[in-house]
Amino acid sequence: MKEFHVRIVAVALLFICIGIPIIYPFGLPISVSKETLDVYNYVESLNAGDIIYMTTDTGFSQIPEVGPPIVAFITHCFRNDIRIVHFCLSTEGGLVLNFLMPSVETSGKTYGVDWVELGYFSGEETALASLAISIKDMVSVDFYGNNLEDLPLMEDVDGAKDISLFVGVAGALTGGYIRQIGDPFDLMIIVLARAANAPALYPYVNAGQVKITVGVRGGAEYEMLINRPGEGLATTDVISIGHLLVVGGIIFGNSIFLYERVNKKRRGEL
Amino acid sequence: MSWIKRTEITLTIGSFAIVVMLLSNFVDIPVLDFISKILPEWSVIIASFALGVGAISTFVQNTDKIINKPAERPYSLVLIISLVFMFIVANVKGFEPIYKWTVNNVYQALTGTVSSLLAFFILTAAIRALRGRNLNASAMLVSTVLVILGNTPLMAGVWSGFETIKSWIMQVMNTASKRGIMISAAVGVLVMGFRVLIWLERGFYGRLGEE
Repeated sequence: MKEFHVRIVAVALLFICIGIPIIYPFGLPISVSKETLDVYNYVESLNAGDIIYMTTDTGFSQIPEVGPPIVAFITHCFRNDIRIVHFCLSTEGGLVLNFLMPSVETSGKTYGVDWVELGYFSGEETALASLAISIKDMVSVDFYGNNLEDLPLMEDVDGAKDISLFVGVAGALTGGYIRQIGDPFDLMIIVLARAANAPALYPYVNAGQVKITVGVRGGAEYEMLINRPGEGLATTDVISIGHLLVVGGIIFGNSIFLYERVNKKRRGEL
Repeated sequence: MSWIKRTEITLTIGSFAIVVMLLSNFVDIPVLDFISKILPEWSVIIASFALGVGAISTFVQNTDKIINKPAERPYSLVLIISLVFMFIVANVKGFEPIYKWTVNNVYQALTGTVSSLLAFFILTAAIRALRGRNLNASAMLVSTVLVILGNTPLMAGVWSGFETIKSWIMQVMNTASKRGIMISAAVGVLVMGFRVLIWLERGFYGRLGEE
């Protein structure tokens, strides 16, 4: 079979297998992993009124993957009256959160009282180090231009000494989170990780420094735990079909490879 | 040569910053504490200026391409127009709805589309590249398939063992190898920092470091 034909068939198969569950979800079952359950239980253990730092260090291209866990996590925090100071260490993070906030359950919550958006800080880990010491030394207005002194939430928080938890998204800067926030201030770090970054975070998870959710599946599991089905659960069918398609592709490719190898041995070419 | 370009000045500033930040962790001196708080704030300001320099550099390079490289002219023109348009709508009062609409409906759709191409590449790579040519490749192949099956929500309903195997691979095999890599990377960072401190490492000072 010509390679070109294999590629056309593979692409067509992918298009069909991913397109159908998006249009007509099957509702295939999923289970909740220990990692996601640990994150959920940790948030449940926080007290009403606790303040957390949250940073969205990701771009628009990752919204399909990290959007569901972000929405589910913030909804969970708001239900438990946990207040959020949000900033971002990537250029698009603030815009990503603005894009996702309409999907979050914010009834009864007020900007400036229950959450504050500080916007983007350049410098990644050095910015984080400064924010851990004092927000008000770094900036005097929020993302929308409001004076920090006029926001009630900012009266109760200035640095990492005033927070109960640090939450990061995507996971590429987790080492920095631990160095600047987790270890110096003895705080738990939760990372709503991309599936590609999750393997690198397991040493931290096993050491007890970090708790993670993994990719869009983690978002789906979180939506199940908070009983609020959303885009994550709607995507699990696509994940199941897509993964099985990749495994099928691996088996198919290796079958062809073994067949050619056996043929070559018979012909004496190997 | 101008005295301000002398290598020793650059290297001294770098070494001073390293010594101050290191000592502030071990010694409780008010002046050191003050400087160690100020330096990260200054670096945030410098990083912000670096963003601006990047934008200006992009503008200049693509303007040059529009003038001198006809083959790349259309792409550079689109980039320049987009850059100027977004700069204006982001900074001029009253254009916030246009900015928001453009980001949420144009930029988000475009970046999502480019990222989704990854699915096609992964599938074709799975068919063509992931082959058990030898023992090492076969071991990687088997673990890849087991982890993929463990991550598939549907397979947990077929057999719970897939998740158990996947967890073992991630938490034992993967963690062990990652720890080795992280420890050796940390040792490398320590050595590199010491080399910068004693002026042996000059590469990242650019042309100033070459003298």
